[in-house]
Amino acid sequence: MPLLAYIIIVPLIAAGLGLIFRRAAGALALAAAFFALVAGCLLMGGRQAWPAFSLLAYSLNSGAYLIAALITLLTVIYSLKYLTQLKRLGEYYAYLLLALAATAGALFTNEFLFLFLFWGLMGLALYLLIGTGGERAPAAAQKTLIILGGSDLLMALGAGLVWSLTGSMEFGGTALPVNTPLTLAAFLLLLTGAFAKAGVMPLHSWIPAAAEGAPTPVMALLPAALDKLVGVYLIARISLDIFMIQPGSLASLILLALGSFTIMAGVLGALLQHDLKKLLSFHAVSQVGYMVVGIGTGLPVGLAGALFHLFNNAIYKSALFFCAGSIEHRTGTTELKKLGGLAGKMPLTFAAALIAALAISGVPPLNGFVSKWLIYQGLIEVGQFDRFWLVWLTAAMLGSAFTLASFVKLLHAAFLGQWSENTAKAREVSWPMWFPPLFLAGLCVVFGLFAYQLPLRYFILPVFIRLVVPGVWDPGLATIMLFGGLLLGLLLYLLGNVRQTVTRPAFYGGEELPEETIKVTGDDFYDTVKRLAPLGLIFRVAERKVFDLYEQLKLALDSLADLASRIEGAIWRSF
Amino acid sequence: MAIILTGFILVPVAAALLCLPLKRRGWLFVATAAGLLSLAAYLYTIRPFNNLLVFQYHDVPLLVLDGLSHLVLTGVALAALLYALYSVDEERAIPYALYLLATAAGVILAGELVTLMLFSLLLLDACGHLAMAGGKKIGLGEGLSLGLAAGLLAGGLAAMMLISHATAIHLTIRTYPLLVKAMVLSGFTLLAGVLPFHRWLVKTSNPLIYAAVNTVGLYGIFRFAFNVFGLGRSGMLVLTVLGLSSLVYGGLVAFARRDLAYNNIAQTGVVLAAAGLASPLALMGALFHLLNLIVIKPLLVYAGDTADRASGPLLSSCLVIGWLANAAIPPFNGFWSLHYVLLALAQQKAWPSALLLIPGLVIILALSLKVLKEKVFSAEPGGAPPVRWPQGTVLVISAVLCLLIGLNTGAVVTYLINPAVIALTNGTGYARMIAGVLL
Repeated sequence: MPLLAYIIIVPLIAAGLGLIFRRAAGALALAAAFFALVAGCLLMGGRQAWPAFSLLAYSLNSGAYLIAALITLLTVIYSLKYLTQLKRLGEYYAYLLLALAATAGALFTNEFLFLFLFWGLMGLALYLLIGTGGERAPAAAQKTLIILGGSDLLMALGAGLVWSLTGSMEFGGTALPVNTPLTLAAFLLLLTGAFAKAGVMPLHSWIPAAAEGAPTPVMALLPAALDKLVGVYLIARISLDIFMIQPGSLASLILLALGSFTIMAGVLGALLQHDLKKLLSFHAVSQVGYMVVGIGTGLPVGLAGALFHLFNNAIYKSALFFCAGSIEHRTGTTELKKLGGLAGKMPLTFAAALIAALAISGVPPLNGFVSKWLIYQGLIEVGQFDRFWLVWLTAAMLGSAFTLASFVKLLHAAFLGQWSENTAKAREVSWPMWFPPLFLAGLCVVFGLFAYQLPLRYFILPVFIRLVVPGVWDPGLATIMLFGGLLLGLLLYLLGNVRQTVTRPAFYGGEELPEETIKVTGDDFYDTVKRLAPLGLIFRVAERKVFDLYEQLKLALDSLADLASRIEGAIWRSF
Repeated sequence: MAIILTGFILVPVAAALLCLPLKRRGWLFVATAAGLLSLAAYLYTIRPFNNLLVFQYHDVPLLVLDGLSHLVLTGVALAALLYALYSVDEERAIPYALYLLATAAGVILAGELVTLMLFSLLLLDACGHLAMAGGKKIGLGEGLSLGLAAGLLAGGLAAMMLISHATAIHLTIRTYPLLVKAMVLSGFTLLAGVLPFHRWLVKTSNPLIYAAVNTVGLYGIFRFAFNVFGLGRSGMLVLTVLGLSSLVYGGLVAFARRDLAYNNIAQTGVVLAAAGLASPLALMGALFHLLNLIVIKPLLVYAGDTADRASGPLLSSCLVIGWLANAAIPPFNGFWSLHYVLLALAQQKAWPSALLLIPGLVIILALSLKVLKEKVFSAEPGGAPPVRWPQGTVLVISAVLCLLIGLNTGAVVTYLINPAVIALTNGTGYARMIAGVLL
C-alpha cells in the first residue's frame, strides 16, 4: 500500500484503539499524530497516488497536510496537559484522529464522491469534538453541523451539476468557464459547502458559537486550522481546477465582494468582542476573507497569496487559540475585563501571542505580511479588468489595520496593564502548553523571513506554471529597518521622557481614587465605534442576530413547524 | 426451485399456528424471522442476476421473485428479525406478527391479482390485530383508513381484472382509466402512510407495522406505477408532489413535536419524490433510501423506546448513529442514498424538486440534531440500568448495519439495488420477462 493509504488508516486505527484502551488514548494520539507529521514530510518528495480512494498528493495538498499534521501533533501535546479533567478523554482523542484522517482524505482526494465522504467525516468529527465541551457545547455542536450539513447538501447538488456538464466526477481537466446560468449555479453551489467549512460570511456563525462551547484546543485545531485548510483549499480547487475564473468576470466579482465583506464584517465584529475566544473566532472569519479575495482575483499572484495566507492563518490562528487556552487554564476566564498584567507572569505565552498577533495583523517581516502583500498585489493587478478594484483593496488594507487595532486591545487587556483578581496569582503554564504556541510563533518568523526560500518555493509556486511577483521584497532589509526604527523610538523615549515621569494619585471630586478603580482594562477600547451613526445601527441590528443566517432560518423553521403542527392537530381533531 | 418461494408465506403461517399452544413463543418467532432472512439471502446466490423466479400453479404465476420483490422481501425479513429480537417477551403479539409477516410476503411475491388482493386484505386485517394485541385500541380514524385501503385496493384490482379479462399481473398490463389507476395507487399510498393518508400510521405504535406495511405500500406503488401502469410524466409528477409534500410537511410536524412517526413520513416522502424522477439514478437513490429506512427506522424506534428505561454508552452510541444516519451524515448509510438522489436531481435539472427537497432534508437534519442534543448530549446522567441483551443486540445489529451499508455502498448497490432498478426501468417490459419465463 502507498504511504497515502497509511496516512488515512493509521489515525483511524489509533482512534479505534483509543476508544477501547481509554487510558492510553493520549499516547496513541501522540504516536499517530507524530506518524502523520513524518509521513507528511516524506510526501513532500513528489507526487504519489492511491487509486482506491482516488487520492493524489502533490506539492500544494502535501504542504497543507504537513501543516495539518503539525498542528494536530501540537494540539495533542497541548491537550495532554490542558484537558486532564475532561470526562470523555478517550473519545476526544479518537475524534481528533478521525478529524486528521478525514482532513487527509479531503485534501488528497481527486474525486467528488470521496470528497463528500471525507468532507462529511470532518464535519462529524467537528460536531463530536465540540460536543465534548462544556454547558454550551451541545447547542454549538448542533448549530455547527446544521450549517455544515445543510451547505454540504447544496455542494452535492453542485457536484451533480458539474458531473452532468462534464460527465466526470474527477477534479481537474475540466476548467469550465463560468459564463452560463448553469455553470454559475454549479460554481455557487459548490462554493457554498466550501464557504461554510471555511467560515465565509454569511455561513460563519458556527465559529463564534463553537468558540463559546468547545474546548480551546478544538478551536485551535479545527475552525482555526483544519477546516480553514480544507475549506479554502477546496475553494482554490473549485476556482482553479473545476472552473476557470477570469479576472473581472461575474464569478470573480462574487468572490471579491464576499471576501471583502467577510474581511470587514469579521474584523468589526472582533473589535467589539469582550471575550478572548470570541474575539479570535471573529478573526478566524475575517482572515478567510483575504483568502477568498486572493482567489477571486483570478490572477496567479493573488492565488499564490491566498494559498500562502491559508498556511499562515492556520499557524498564527492556532498559536493564538493555544495562548487563549493557556490564559483560561491559569486564570479561569477568557473575559478581557477580568484579565490584565499577564506579560510578566506568563512571558512565554505573551511572546507567542505577541508574535502571532503581529503576524495576523500583517506586520513585516512576519509571514502574514508576505501573504497579504501578495494579495494586495493581486488586487492592484486586477484593476486592469475590474473597476471596483479600489473597493476591494481598501477593504483588505483597512481590514488589516482594524486587525492590528483589535489585537492591540487584546494584548493590552490580557497581558499589559494592571493585574486583576483573576490574574494576580497566575503563572506560566508548563511546557506542553507553552511549547506549541511558541513553536508556531517561531514558524511565523521563519515563514516571514524565508518566505520565498521555504513555503512559497516548496508548497505554493510549483502549482503555478508561470508566476511573476512584481516589486521587490527583501525581508532581511525590512527586518533591519524595522528593528532600527524600534530602537530609535526607544532611544528617543528614554532620552526625552523617562526622567520626567512623575507619579501622582488620581482625584475625583476632591477624593483620592483607589488604584483598582482607575484600572484601564482595554476591554472597552473600541466601544465608541458602536456610537458612530451608520456603524452603531449595524451593530445594534447585529446584536439581535439579524445577520446570522442560521438564527433567521431557525426562527422561520420554528414558526413553520409550529404552524404545520397546529394544522395537523386541527385537521385530525375535526376528523 | 421456485417452490421455495412458498416458504416465505407457509413458514410464518406454520410458526403462527405452532406458537399458539406455546408459552415461550418469542424464540420461535426469532428463529422464523432469521430463517426467512437466511432464505432471502440464499436466493441471492441462486437467482440468476436480473432474472426471475416464478412459482406456477396450473400455468398461473402465483408467486414471482424479481430484483424489486427480492429487495423488499429481504428488507421485510430483516425488519421482522429485529422486531422479533426486540419483542421477544411480548408473547401476545407474536402470532399476529407472524401473520403480518406471511401476508406481507404474500403481497410482495404475488404474481397475479387475486393473490395480491387476498394478501392485501389479510395484511390490513393483520395490522389491526397486531395493533390491538399491543394493548392499543383501534380508533375510528385508523379503522376507516384501513377500511378505505381495503376498499380501494379491492375495487381497483377487481376493476383491472374485469377490464383485462385476466388475473396474472403480466397479462393485465395495459392502459386503464384514470380512476382505476388512482384507486390502486391510493390504496398502496395509504399503506405507505404518505401524505394525505398518513394519519393511521402515525397512530400505530407498533414498529413492525411501521416497517413492514410502509415498505409493502411503497413496493406496491413502485410495482404498479412502473411495471403495470407504466405511468407517464404526469403520473410521475404526482408521485413527486406527494413525496415532496410528505417530506416537508412530515419534517415540519416532526420538528415541532419531536415525533418519530412524522420523521418516517418525511423519509418515505424522500423515497417517493426520488421515484417520481424516474431516471435509473433516481430509482437507485429511492430504492437505496428505502433499504436504509428499513435499517434506520427500527434503530430509532427501539433506541428511543429503550432510552425511557435504560441508559449507558451503548444506548447513547446507538442513538447517535441512528440519528446521524437519519440526518444523512457520512459515513452512515443515509448519506449515500441521498447523495444519489441529489445527483439525479442535478442530472435532470429538476430545480423545483430541488427547491423543496433540500429544505426538507435540512429540516430532517435539524430535527435529528435537536433530538440528539436533547436526548444524548444534554441529558442528565440518570441511574437507569444498562440495556438488556436481546434488546441491546437489536440496537447493535442495526447500528452496525447503518455503518456497514455506508462503508460498502458499492456492494450493496451492485447486489441488492441494481437488480431492483433494472426491474423498474424495464417498465411494462415486466410482462415480456414473466411471459419468457413461463414459456
